[in-house]
Amino acid sequence: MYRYDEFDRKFVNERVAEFRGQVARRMSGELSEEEFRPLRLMNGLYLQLHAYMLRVAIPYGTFSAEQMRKLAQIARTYDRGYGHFTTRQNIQFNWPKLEDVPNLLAELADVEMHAIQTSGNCIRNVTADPYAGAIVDEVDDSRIWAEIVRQWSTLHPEFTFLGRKFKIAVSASDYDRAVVRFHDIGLFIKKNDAGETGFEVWIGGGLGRTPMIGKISNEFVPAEDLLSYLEAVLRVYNMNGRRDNKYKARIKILVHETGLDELRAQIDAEWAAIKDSALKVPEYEIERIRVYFAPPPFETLNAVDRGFETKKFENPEFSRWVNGNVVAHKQVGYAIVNISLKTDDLPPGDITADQMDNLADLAENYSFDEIRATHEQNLVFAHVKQSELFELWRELGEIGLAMPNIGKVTDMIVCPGLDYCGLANTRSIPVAQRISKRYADLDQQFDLGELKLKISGCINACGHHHVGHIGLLGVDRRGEEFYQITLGGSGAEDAAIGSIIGPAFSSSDIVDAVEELINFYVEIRNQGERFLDTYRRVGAAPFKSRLYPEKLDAAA
Amino acid sequence: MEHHVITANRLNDGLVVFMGEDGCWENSILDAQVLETDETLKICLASANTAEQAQIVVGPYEIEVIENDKGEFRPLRFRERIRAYGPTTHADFATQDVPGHLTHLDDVSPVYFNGVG
Amino acid sequence: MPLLKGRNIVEDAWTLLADNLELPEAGFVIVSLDRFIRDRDLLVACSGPIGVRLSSAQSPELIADALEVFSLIELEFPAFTDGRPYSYAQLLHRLGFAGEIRAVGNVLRDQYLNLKRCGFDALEIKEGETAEEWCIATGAFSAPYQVAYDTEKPIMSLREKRLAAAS
Repeated sequence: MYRYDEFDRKFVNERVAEFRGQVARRMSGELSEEEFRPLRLMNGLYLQLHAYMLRVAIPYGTFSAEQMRKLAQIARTYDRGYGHFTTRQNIQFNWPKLEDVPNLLAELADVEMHAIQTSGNCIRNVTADPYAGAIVDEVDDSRIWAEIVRQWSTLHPEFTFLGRKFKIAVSASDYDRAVVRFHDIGLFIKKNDAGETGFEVWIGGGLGRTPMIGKISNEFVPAEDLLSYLEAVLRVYNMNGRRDNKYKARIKILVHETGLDELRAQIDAEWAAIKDSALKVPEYEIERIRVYFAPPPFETLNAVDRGFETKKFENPEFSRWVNGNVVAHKQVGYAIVNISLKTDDLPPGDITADQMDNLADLAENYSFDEIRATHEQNLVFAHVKQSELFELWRELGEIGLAMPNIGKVTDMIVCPGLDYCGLANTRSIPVAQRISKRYADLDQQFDLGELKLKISGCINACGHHHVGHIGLLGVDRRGEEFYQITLGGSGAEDAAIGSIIGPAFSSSDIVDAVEELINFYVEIRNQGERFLDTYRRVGAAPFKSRLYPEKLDAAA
Repeated sequence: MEHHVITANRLNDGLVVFMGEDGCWENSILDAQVLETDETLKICLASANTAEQAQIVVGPYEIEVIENDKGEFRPLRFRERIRAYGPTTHADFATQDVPGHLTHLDDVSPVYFNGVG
Repeated sequence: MPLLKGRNIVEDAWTLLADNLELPEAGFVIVSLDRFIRDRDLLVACSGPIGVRLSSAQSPELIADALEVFSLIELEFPAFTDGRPYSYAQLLHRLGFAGEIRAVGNVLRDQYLNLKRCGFDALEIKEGETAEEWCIATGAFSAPYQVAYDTEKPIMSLREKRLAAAS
């Protein structure tokens, strides 16, 4: 993985010093809250419902055991013993004191971490495919390019006070494991016929109150022109994006209101003017970064490990975990292991400090000292020997992290909701916990197969409900928590925005309603069909009449 | 007039605080000064704004409270109840023992009605 | 208001001309975009130097065909969170504007480096503020990650230099 050189290290330390000064000016009253707010946000610091919350960047979701241990220590010292993984491959801590944050940041800097641009109206921490460097279907390691984008976007002098936040994601695969099409800019790495690397660029995707799937603005931007192209898009957006209404300020609205062709023409004109400049990414820099992402020293192994096959045969629980959480690796004899953070005990995405320390040890022992965070609020060990899967599973089980529910109904994306968030209308976590309880039976979960359920506590859609096969959106109805259901969304390569199925359900009825939908799917599904496939085949109407039978009666 | 208390987050630690009898900021809503007239509300909001100018609290505002049969005042809206009593998901984080505040995993809906709990 | 240029507060020879006031022969006045559109011929004919002030909703593209008329362009920040003028400054340089670019309005001293890097030459600060306070921001970072209008060497080229020295 990427390691800081002296320039990166100095830069991050200088940022800590700058923020320390800003905090001091806030405490002394030189900065008002109104002035301080944008400054603290662009360094990841929120003032939430109960306390401050600090979001720490994990660039493209890759981090080391040493970094994980530091996060554990921070969870103990500044949080109340927990960390919370987010949908943008970051981790956030609740409860830090303002006066402690500069020291917290200095501690992060010691292990090459920071909180730069994890919030605010700037280019946010760049995300990427969590299987990068391990999955067979990629054309390149997306983290190389994500790191180039990270450096370019860090404290960019021109794009730090944009109309709204700006999110960039990178993938190198036809399978979309990073919701790339729902980013302000989504980059798919491609090879052209000549074998050269370039980017298919999607712009104007996003969730929030106006969900939109991105559109292709350029089918192939040569790799060396990546930064000039990004700069052209950002400049056109910064100058022309709306500033009169924060809900219409994202680039998706500019694309929508300007029209893709016209906006593309503006971007291309700007790009043509700046393409041949110092913005070209030099080959030496690409190579310098590429070295950090070279494959770890894999052993030459057999494709089939007899011990592993035997264990699977002997132990059905292990076999189920392999089935659910383990993915084929591009290196023969290795596997990609997903570690679910949707366990019985904690809110989705939460992890205790002790679990972090334990995982750090396991990452060193089993996965070349590397951990990934996914946008689905889980973790990944990217490079595990098949022959060691059983031992790893056993050790994960000891710390409560061997839940085999990846992609299943209980593997929900869930925003913090009103239990923590100052913007939320309703809670999300308790609903998720009740659904988990309802579907605690793993046999039933496996029978249901892939089912993406996502919950947001308000229209800002941090819980990605628009792209859930089943999405729940919390709404406040005269002071009571209600939940609206959307069906048919997907954040993957078959991207789609879910449709609202009908009137919202009260908190007491919502879990039954979800169960009713799932029961209906089970009754009408064809062999091998996922919930989403069945919904797409039959459409919304049958689900609707099942969920709201009284409406049907009234109409009859 | 309805009953109100004034709440904010403390600048330094960010925690939820309530304006007490003597104008100090208290961690517990039980120690909050309950305001019964428009006039006292106005005066206390002005003093809360002064506290904001003095870097003591951030974003003060008034919330409606109602009295339960034990004579305790509780926030009317569930958002404010969660602010006052802590996240409903962690027993350790609760700031007060309030019946029905914590989410229980017994598959019974923890409905949070407006009104006295 | 004091004018900060580089690291010093300097004399300001310019004044902002209200739209209803007559154009002085000697120039050194800053007009609004409306005034420029209305009195373009008059302003072009003026013997003294002329400046124009653009609001953050007015792109320099609106005066792209008249840049040579101006010795000074002021870009206004209505709020420090409105970052459009950063892009306008970059655009002005690219369009070949050779005069002075000034930031006016609401800017935080934390943004001074952003202004400099995007090619602003001067900045109006508030009465009572000192140049020293403002210049702290410019020293906050020893090297930036990206190229911008200024001549600051980005980290990438420092790495190249180091690479060359090593080989």
